[in-house]
Amino acid sequence: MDGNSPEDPALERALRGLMLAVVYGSTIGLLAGLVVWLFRRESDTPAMLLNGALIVLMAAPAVRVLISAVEAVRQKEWLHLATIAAVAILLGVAVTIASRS
Amino acid sequence: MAAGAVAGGLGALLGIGGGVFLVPFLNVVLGLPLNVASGIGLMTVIGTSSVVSSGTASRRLVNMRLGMLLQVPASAGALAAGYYVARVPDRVLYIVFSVVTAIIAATMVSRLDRRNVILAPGASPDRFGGRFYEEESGCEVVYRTRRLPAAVAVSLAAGSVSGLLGIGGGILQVPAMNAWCGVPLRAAAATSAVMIGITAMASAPLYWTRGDISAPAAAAAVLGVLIGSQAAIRFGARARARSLKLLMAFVLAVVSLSFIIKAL
Repeated sequence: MDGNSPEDPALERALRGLMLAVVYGSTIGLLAGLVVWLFRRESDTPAMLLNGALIVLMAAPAVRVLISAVEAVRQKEWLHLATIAAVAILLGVAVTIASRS
Repeated sequence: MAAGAVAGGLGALLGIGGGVFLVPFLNVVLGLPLNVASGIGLMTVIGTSSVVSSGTASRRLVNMRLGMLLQVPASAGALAAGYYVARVPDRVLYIVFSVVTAIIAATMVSRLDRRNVILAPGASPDRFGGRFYEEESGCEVVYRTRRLPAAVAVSLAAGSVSGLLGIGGGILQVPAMNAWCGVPLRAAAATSAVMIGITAMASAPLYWTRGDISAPAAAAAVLGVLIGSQAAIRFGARARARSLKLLMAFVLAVVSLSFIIKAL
């Protein structure tokens, strides 16, 4: 499940690798946090692990948007790139509003 | 976690994320407040979508050109809904969702044996169409899109529903893309599976900062979903399109019924 094919340029392979790292990293963090939470609920550690892993997972779609943008630039698909940019702006607005709440 | 695994499996198979099964389960069966169930649902949608996005199995099926076009209204709808969700009564949400899913289930059943693929080897797709190798017909197939304005409208509605109910929106987008826009079910499901994570990300941070995402419960659900999604990706390529349509229509009917009961 590495998401790469031989004809992908190096940058896109790297970004897909980053996507995998995000998914695996958040999975490990969630598992570790849940195990610690089951045995040591009074500690701050499980909350830090769980919340950190959930935040990393929330960032995964942004990596997918970035991969699409790189592909669009490589293929010189400017309309496609414009729609990707619009999506990225909307996601940025969501994060900005949330951080100010 | 078990509920998450079932949700993730069905969600990855049908391209609709785990939220549409998990949110009713968390709210109706486990009694969690709808806002908390929705927050957890959004995280499971992101989990399912991330697994599909990072895999190879459906890469040839994903139509990112069409997906990103539809993602603009979907993300806008999700952002607005996520921001205003606290002002909408739960009963209204239940009724709206129940009616919409019932309509789409009926549409899916009425088009059970219609196929959107073109088997002519020399055919070419249009700007937002695509081509992929289909195991069922044993050859490369082509599809062309139609009624894009309808797809844009449905995507706006799907994004709004995503932000309001904590689901991915694929429950509306996949049947709409397949039944109205000429996209084969497998391609619609694969494209939607990638899109729903982005849609969910447009409202998940808002739920997060409101404290609507319970970390331990979300972690258990997401872990279950990640396991279920992996299994579904391996099974999905062998499933027949008609069987997937029947499964989706059945799921839609059950979800519709559970929400109308909750509203009454």
